[in-house]
Amino acid sequence: MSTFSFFNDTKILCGDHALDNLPFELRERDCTRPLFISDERSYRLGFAKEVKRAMDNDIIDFGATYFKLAEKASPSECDDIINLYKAHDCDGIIALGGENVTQCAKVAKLMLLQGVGDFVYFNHKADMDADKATYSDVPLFILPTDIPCGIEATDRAMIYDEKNNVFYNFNSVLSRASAVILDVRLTDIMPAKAMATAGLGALAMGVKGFVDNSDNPIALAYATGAIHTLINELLPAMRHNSNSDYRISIYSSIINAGVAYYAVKESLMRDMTNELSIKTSLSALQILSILFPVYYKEKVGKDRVFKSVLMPLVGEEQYALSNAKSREIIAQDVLREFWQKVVSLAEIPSSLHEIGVEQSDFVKLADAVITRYKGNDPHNNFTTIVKLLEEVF
Amino acid sequence: MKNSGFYYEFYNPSKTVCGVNCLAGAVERLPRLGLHNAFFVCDDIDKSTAVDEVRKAVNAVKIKTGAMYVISEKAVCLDSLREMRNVYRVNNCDCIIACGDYKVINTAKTLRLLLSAQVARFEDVKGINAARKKTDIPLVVIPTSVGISNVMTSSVSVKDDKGQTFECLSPLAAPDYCIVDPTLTSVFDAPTTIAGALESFAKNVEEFVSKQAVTLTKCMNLIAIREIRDNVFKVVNDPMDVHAVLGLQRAGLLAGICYSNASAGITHALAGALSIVSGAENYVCTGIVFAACMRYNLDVAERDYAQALYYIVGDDKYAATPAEDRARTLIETAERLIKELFEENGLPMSLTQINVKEEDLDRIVEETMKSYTLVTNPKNVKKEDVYAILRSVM
Repeated sequence: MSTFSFFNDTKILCGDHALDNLPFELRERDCTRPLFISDERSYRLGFAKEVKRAMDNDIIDFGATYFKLAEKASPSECDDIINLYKAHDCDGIIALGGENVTQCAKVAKLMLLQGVGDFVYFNHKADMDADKATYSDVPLFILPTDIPCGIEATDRAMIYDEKNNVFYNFNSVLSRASAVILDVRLTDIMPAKAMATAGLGALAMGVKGFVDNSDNPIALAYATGAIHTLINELLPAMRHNSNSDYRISIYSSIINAGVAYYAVKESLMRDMTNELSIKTSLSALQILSILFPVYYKEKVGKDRVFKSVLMPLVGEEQYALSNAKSREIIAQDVLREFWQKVVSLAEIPSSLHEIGVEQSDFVKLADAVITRYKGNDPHNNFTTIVKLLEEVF
Repeated sequence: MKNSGFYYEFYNPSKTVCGVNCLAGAVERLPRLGLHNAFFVCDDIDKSTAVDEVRKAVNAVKIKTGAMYVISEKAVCLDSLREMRNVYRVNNCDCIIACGDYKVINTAKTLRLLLSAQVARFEDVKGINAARKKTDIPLVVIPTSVGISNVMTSSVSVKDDKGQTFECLSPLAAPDYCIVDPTLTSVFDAPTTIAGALESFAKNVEEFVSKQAVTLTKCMNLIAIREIRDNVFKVVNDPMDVHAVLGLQRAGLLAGICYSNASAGITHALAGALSIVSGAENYVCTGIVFAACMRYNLDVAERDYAQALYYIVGDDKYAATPAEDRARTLIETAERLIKELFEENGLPMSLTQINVKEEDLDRIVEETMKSYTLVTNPKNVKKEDVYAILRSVM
């Protein structure tokens, strides 16, 4: 039993009427002039109005509003948020929207806390080893309107500078949200394809979080809960995508899977996911849904913890009845069958070539991954990465 | 599953560092939290070297000991809190470091709550979420006992000037930093270990079946129950087994996190009331009423109890137990374990043995009905139910 450390003080409010608690959460953090940011899609769908309505009966006013965030989070968007925040003397941020809004808001918070107004300069100065109490807080409330990306309740934030082809990856407690509010009213019916891709990606995150956090019971619980929910509710959620309970349940599982997945500092699979995400312009969850079979296959016979993942996959009854020696094989089979079922039902990409990756890209990709990887596992080398890429090609 | 109006909140504001010999590494970061002059709250320093070790480690990272307060009484009383607040202020302390058992941590958490909310009277913060943060008072807790399920909770209990106990639920009561190092625990006798493990077990089971439980808290509870099963007898047989002690402490941590989010149920309410009225230790009262309370909840919590059985008995026995008998088997297993451990260590097993008489029942019921944990008990509790449970363990 080795030492573990865990810190995640993002409050999760999830389900019916969760949004009604936003004014309370703002008041609790002495936030009276929040900057309200969103993207055009969320604004067009009327979600911004829902937020305003929830605030109507309260004395809190928005310091400023900005509903035109672009579809892709970029350094200039972060700079815009900072400028608006400062110009209107705001004291918190409400971020309503999809992954782009979440990423921008988290990076903007990080920049505000460090008192830096320019993204390019800031990137070299980001305090990745900060302790929250050292800085005064900028309360940040994330209100996802799309399928979450898994970073909502984590220290992670990622920005891709398309112009200069640079990927900025931040990992600091300073970028952490004060609360994530998942309300049914802020979500819309999600196509089965999107739900399937995100669900499988989150399941990969959950399995990885489970295996990597065996010594951390808190992160392990996040992973266990996410796996259990996703394996039991993803297919019904795809079939009955108008059912908001399923939708919210899957969304909250993605957030929990993200907490477990990002609780581990270094991960080759994560670096590989990020590189492929830059290469294809697809989200990390979309990439993970494709890398998933390789990931669990790689674990069989190599990881003593992998067999225990069978428990959240099949429940106590079947786990107790299974042969202890074949549990990792059964876990692998369950995951493979589930993945195949979801992929064929939703007709989503299941290989790298389907998302536009060429075999000729492998060397460059593997090189980028190994440069990014800061772990010290000697098995994680250039050849391993190329082999993994070939397997999912 | 339909659109059923499902809603939950989850919040765990404390940072946890947990492991054998983790103290030195964990305190290294404390100066970065702005800690310079610490107010130490601890228990009898003659009985344990833990406080000395903690002070040495903290002083080594340039945090001074501004003042030190040794807790002697069993429950926090308002007089000592007033005194502590004055000592804190007079010595210009800027943080609280609590090192000790349940009562030390409960006291430190209450002190932090009062100082953070800048209120003079406990009445101003008692109840649920009544306190508002006015100033930041970092609180570091370092438990030195096995039963540490109160460490991570957002709740405290305090005795007022008339001897009445009040509870308060607020995020301000939760520590900023929790350091769990089993090498700092005292070498315990069996009853102390049993006390810690039993309280933690009962809390985890109650939270697991709570009306407010969600998948995440349930997973934490099951992991905790397994840790208790794997480690309790190891610690009873060898109190120096630091890895086993750590296992029990981890279970306590998880129980604490879940208590703040899922609350508990009738066992918690009833044991607390019994302890107030009889003066018996809370774990003794828990041991006496736990199985009866589980039986009371059986018809609504049967599925959950059946699931929890796996984490107590393991593969073979779980698979061999017919599905319809599993919930009952959990209760019987818990009852048998408590009986064995209590009998072996000469602990009381009935209300009569802790000097509770028929005429005390009204007050116990009254105190029980005050507890907010009854709200989350899976079954709506009526006064007559509490009387029936109490009479069954007379």
